[in-house]
Amino acid sequence: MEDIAGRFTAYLQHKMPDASNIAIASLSRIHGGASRETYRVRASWTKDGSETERGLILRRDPVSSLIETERDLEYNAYRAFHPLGLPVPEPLYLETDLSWLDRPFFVMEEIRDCSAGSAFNPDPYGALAPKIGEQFWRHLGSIAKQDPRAIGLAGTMEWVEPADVWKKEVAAWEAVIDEDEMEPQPIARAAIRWLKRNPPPPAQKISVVHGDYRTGNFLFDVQGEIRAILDWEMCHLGDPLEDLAWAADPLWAFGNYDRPAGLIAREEAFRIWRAHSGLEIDPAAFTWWEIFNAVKGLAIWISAGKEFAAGNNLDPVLAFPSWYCTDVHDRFLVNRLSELVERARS
Amino acid sequence: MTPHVTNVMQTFFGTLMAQIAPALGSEYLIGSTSVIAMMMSMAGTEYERGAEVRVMENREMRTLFAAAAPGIGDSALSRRLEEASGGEDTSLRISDLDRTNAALKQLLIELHSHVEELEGPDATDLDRRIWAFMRNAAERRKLPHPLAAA
Repeated sequence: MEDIAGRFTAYLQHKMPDASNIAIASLSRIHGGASRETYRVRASWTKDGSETERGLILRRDPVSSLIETERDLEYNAYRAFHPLGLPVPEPLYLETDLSWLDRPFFVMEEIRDCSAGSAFNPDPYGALAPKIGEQFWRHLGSIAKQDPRAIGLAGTMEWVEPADVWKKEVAAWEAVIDEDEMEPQPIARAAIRWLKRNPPPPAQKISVVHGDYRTGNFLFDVQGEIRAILDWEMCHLGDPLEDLAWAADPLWAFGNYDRPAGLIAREEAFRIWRAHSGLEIDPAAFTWWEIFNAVKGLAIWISAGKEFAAGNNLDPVLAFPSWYCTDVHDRFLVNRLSELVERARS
Repeated sequence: MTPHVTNVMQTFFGTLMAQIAPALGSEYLIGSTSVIAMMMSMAGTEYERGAEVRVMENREMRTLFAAAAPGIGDSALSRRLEEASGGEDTSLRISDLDRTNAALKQLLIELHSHVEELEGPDATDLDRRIWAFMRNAAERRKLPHPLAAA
């Protein structure tokens, strides 16, 4: 078996030349995080006469992943939002030198004594849902409110003009489907044509879009405090309604459209988002981003299935969405779109 | 083949989730085992209905093409619709049905795209029939989530 612990110990020594007695008490892989190999590490060292023990998270690029992204996007997002008080882990090291662990990786603090709700659990939050729900939508509003230039992210991500956001996003995800589909997708293709025929208004502002803000991508503790918003690997600059519609996608709420993310009522969730983002939710624009996000989802699930089928990554977590999530998004799209097409005729 | 495949898959789903996964020490292996268990349950569902949903889809698309072909002004597309409408599924192997299904769906995409550019009541009617087909087909392929069903 690969000696990640030994090699990572050497890396920590390299990053902390003044430290001694560096030891890894445990290193274990965490399930999920399909776009990166994620390991929980318990490390200890002695420095300036005092002993330190710290939990770390190591996120290493996989050979092949569900989402092909650059790891510095995610690292930079943590670096930008951590000082602002948004609950994200403290980023520690970003490493692109392949000599350490064969693939690029980054290291961040471990958020301990927390759990993530599974999007595939019918009731992931139980009695904590109201408390977590208020924070979930508030934090998303806070992300949307930030000026990407002011927090140093505009220079690290491709800028896009408000009127061009939708075209850029549709083109990107259509290209993924073009490249990775293993069978024709009549529903996704009809949806892409609809998106192009019915463009949304220009974005109200250019925001940092997390890209995968949803159930399963944040950690909460037993008191119901959200302690960390994770998985920023798809973050980009764009329309803040993209994040809102993705977070409210019925896939993340076991199909419950009225209680998005399985948390609180839709109306209250969106009221909180508006209050903390300072932005409005144009119904037609929101509908467009709902349809777009289902297409984006399909592109991701199709791509994951292809990676699994090709043997590039045999993690079961890549096969599952290709079956289940594709089915959910296909049905959502075909029902919603046929309504919209019919409404446009009347 | 007894016990029936669907029954075996559902039982293994329960065993993996309730007995085997909790006994594994590794968080990663517990997660992976749970995902494998859910997919076994879904495979059991697909084993039972797989041939039927594909045969129905293929038949419905051929019927749709037969109705559409005479009214399609693009003569090449019309001819291909006519040809496809005359096919039949001579093998019930899933791989063969999938191959035919993919070819028919590719033609459906072309037809739908073409129809969306047309105007008039015939085009509207055909567009509605295509949407109805896609709705029904997606509903028939719905995968019951094993945790929701449990």
